[in-house]
Amino acid sequence: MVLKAAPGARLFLFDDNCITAPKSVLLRMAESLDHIIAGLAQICPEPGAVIWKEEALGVWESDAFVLARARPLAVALPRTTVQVSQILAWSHANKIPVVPRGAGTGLSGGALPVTDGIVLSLARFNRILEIDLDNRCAVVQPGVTNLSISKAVDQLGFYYAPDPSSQIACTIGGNVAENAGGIHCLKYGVTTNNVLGLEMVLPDGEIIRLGGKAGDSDGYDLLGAVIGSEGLLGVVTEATVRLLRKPQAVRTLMAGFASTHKAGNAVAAIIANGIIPAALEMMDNPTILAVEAYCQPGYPLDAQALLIVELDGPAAEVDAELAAVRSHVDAAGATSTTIAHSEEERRLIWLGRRSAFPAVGRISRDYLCVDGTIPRFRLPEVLDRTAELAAEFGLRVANVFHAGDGNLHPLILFDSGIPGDSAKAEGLGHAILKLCVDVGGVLSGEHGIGIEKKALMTHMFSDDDLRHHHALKCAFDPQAMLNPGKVYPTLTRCADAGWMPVDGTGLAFPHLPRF
Amino acid sequence: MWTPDSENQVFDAVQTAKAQKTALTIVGHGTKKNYGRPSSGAQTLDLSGLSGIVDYQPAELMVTVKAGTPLAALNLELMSRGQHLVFEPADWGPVLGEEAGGATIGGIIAAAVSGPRRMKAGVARDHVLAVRSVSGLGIAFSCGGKVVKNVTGFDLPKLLTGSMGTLAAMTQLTLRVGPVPETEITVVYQGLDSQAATAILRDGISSPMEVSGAAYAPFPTAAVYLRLEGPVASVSDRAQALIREITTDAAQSMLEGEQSRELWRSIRDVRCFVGSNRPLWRLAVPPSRAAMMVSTIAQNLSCRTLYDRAGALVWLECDGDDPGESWVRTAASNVQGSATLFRAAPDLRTAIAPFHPEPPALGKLSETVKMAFDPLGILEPSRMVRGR
Ligand SMILES: Cc1cc2nc3c(=O)[nH]c(=O)nc-3n(C[C@H](O)[C@H](O)[C@H](O)COP(=O)(O)OP(=O)(O)OC[C@H]3O[C@@H](n4cnc5c(N)ncnc54)[C@H](O)[C@@H]3O)c2cc1C
Repeated sequence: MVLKAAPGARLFLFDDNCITAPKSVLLRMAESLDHIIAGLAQICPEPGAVIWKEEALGVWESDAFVLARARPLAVALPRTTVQVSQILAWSHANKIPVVPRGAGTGLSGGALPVTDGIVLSLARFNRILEIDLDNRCAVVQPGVTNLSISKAVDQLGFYYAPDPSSQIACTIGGNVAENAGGIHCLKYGVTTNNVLGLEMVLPDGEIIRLGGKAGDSDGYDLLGAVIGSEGLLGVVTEATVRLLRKPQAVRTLMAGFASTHKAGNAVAAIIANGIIPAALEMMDNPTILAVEAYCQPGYPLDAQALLIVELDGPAAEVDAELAAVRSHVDAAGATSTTIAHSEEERRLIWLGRRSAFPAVGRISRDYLCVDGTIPRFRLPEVLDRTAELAAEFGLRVANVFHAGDGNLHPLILFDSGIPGDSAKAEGLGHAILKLCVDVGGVLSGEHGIGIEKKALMTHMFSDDDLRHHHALKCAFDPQAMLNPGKVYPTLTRCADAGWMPVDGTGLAFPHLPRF
Repeated sequence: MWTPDSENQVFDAVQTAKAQKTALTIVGHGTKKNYGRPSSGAQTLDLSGLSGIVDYQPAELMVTVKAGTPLAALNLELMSRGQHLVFEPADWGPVLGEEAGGATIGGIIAAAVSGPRRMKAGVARDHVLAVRSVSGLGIAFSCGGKVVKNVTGFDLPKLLTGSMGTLAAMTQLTLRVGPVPETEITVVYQGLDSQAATAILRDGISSPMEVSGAAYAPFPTAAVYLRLEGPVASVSDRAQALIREITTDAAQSMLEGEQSRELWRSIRDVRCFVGSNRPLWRLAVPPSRAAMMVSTIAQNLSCRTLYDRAGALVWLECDGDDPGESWVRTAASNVQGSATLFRAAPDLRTAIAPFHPEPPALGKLSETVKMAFDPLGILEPSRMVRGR
């Protein structure tokens, strides 16, 4: 067995703590690799539960943040909580880093392996354990996909609210780790607002339960602290999620505007007048053009900004709100307004929105998807400044965003075939994220920090702030064995250049709509 | 006694406590001093001087406020813009033997006080976006972000919410706010036993009519209450639809507008148990098991109850002075619930753990978290759990 860095791995980009393992460690590992494989196989004797052959490890080298790759020593696919506990206790005792992994759709490199550690895949935890409508919740294993929960209760008239656009592939465990959002989070909240309880294995193998069907328990809200912790605090082995009754009525409206400012004013007016739509999405003209060319949803091509508003709830209320939204949109100067009158018309409006990423992928060889959140009222100024920055860098940007909660996804168009273009794109992305922070926003609304943005953490947090994040990490994982090198910059400043260049061939999960 | 009026002075107080290794009792207006284990600080850090709204942007649906700001003052300001704290924090003053209307927002968040709108809008922790505080490490720091959607590092505001001052002295909070519903109607069903009541609570909040409050008061006359909030145009339609959906023989009636609001204030503030000082438990349970749990407890302990949040929250007042700890805790644990001894004489709250004991592994972890934020034990030691 040869132990070497994976071809194409850009080890030099990252700091020690992240993926490069010092030579000496690699040698030690090579000697003990057989020991590691034997140890894992003893815990997980099922066929195929331990992967270590060179040729089989390739697919585990990255998540959907494809820029960074690293080959782990081995991958373990346990099936029970006891096995997870034994693996963690064993790797803890042997000082072997562990990287948890769901479906690998993460966009910030959270599930990137470490070369001197193992990947712990929750893929075999794929069962819905219980549907409890009396308590409006479901108990599921972490490897269950987001969409399959809603599917399982669809006939019963219920659903699970957070709906990331990767929902057919991403897992609940990954959603919990990234505190995933989605289009309908404005009204129904993100993952953290929809998870009632977790079973979790701590880095030393201890099994704990946080929260549960009863909801609010006494003591520290460790459930709240663990959700969104990007796999740094423990491995989730079971989740109890809230189920919601499907709304009685859904109405969708789209409106074109002569400027993003005007569309922004419409957003502000809707919210300021006490309406919380289920979804409130916006896209700019470059995106409208790309989408219309891609799937012809019937968007107004002359509009500089398109707003999609979806209202759901009891029929009587939704109709009243729709009328109100319509008047706010008109008052803000909409140049066109379309209300979906059938399920098919509604589907078309959303098809366009859901196709925004691939549509942009058509007009540019590569693009970077940036994810930051800003206070809503700074939207016009951030868009202007983004355009200026793009001009400075000599690149184009297409904007798609969850306008209702200020979560931006500027898509930076570039061509990795042109020397220097990738670096420019990366520079522009960093500049945009810094801008988000400078106007009072944050570095990530829903994709997490991973390795992609950890170098920027010091732009948002002071050392004093970060010390308290480290304090929590140390309480859970004093030996820093779980997902090392992610989220937080280490003492050696991370030179990471984390972005996701996506071209037609390298597209991770090309079949998924991108938001 | 420290009475800071700036974060710097809070910092000085904690620094001094650290240097002298003296423990601090942290108070706003002290309305919850009878909640949890009695505070044992040698010095009091009174944060009521940190008062005032720092930034309020109604269109952003968020407000930044100093921790010592009276809840009543904050509510007034929000109300003037047609908004409110959607998690509907209760006024625990009277039921804990204190005056009404005295709470500060810092105390509300530190004790994670919420209200009946839980099923629709979540609880306190779901509404705390950012916090500034001084931790037991003697360091002033910020956590969270002033936006609603944020995955930038650990969600420390959630950790601080409900931590009773044991991890950090909070100086400033950024909270979500939302529109006050135009009106509300409560559908009332009378004369039901707890089994039948639980079924109606379940059917009510499982309906697509967006029920935003679901309570069952077995006494003085047994009644189930289901609240509908929203625009005038929709609320009465929804009430009719709800009544059609729910099958029961129970007599039904409706409360509207201010009458309904007053009812929910009294449920929220547990007014039915104000005025006595008998032991009062607050139980978190899976809603479907609430009635069963209560009947198990009632076999051994004479008591009266109020079910809120569709049964996920049960208030249980003992008829005698004995809190019946083992009956209550065992019954709660048996249904995967937890039992907080919410009100009891100080010696009882010293002898009996007021907060439901954690299983050993979880207890150890919570202790490590406390150690990480307050290694010297200078912030409210033993306020939640003895020796921690
Ligand atoms: C096309 C596309 C569209 C997307 N759209 C959205 C969107 O709309 N909204 C959104 O929020 N995100 C979106 N994402 C990002 C991604 O899907 C989410 O972050 C998702 O939650 C990741 O889930 P996963 O199962 O793939 O996790 P992975 O990528 O495998 O892992 C993500 C992180 O979670 C950790 N982890 C995984 N499982 C566990 C566990 N059981 N216990 C502890 N830690 C664990 C990993 O260590 C890693 O840090 C999109 C991604 C793609 C590719």
